[in-house]
Amino acid sequence: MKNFFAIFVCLLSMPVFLGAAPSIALIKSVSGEVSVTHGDKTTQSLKQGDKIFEKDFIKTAPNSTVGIIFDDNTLISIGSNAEFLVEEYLFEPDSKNVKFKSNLVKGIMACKTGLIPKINPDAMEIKAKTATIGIRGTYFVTEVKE
Amino acid sequence: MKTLASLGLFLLVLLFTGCTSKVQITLLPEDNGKTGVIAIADNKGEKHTIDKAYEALDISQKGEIASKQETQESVHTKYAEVLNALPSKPQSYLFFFSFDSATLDTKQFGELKTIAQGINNTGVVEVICIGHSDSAGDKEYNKTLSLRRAKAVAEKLTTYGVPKALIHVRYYGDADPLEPTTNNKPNAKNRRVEIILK
Repeated sequence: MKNFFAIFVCLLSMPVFLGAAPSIALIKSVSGEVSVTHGDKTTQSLKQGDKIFEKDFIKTAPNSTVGIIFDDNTLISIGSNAEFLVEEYLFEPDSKNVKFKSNLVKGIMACKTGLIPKINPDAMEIKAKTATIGIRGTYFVTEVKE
Repeated sequence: MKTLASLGLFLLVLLFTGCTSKVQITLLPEDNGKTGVIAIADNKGEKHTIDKAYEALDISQKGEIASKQETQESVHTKYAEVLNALPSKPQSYLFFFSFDSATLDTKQFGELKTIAQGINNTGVVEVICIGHSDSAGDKEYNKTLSLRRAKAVAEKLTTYGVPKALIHVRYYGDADPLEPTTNNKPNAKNRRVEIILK
């Protein structure tokens, strides 16, 4: 009976497990206080090794930074007092389906691009205030002043 | 009254500087000296492009764009915090195998031990082991063979102290050769496992 129950629980949890959106990036380093608000509005503090998902909104406190490695090897760091939203991220290199749209609401970010702009030069954009910046690569800093 | 007037002036100056530049984007050279390309359209739809090292674009609140030239010193001073926080590129290592074999040799054990020590000492957050085969033989058999190779490497890394939770195993059979060949060709370079450290 106990086994039956275990199998039942297993079957119940499986669709949820399969339906979960895949992560798109890893937190490589955190200094100070950095938090993330997911698409479902839940907020947690970020630490090294945590995963990042599409629609994640990352916020850094004063004297805090975060370093992120995306699936396509895009490297991004975000400085103090910043807000950064991953609007869209798609990396399916086999079908050449790629997209990376983000929004730097405030603060400073540095970026070294990965495979996405190599696969499609029009696939990467960063919004900063009213501007939409097209990124063909490869190493740059964006600053949004308040 | 005088203080009020100076406060007014102060506010005016603040507002004024606030309007001049809201966004700055600066291009840096890569390690190999090459520089990428960044493009923005301004409020009139005119496209502005930068493609030289330390070239920058200033975007005002109204969407006006002006280019300017920064220097290595100015950029590294102003942006030291983010530049220091930028992760380094994931490293990649290759381990090669004999024909139809998923067995590592003693020399490779030594190399894997060194890599494992590096993983444990440098804050690696993910280890990906990707198995590959050459195109000789049955495709399904090759998939399994490439998985056995990736598992052999992953298990050795665990033996040398790398936490299992960090390791992800993938396998592509003959689908992603290092050296593309005609079908059914044995090829030493394609019989490999790639380790990627993030």
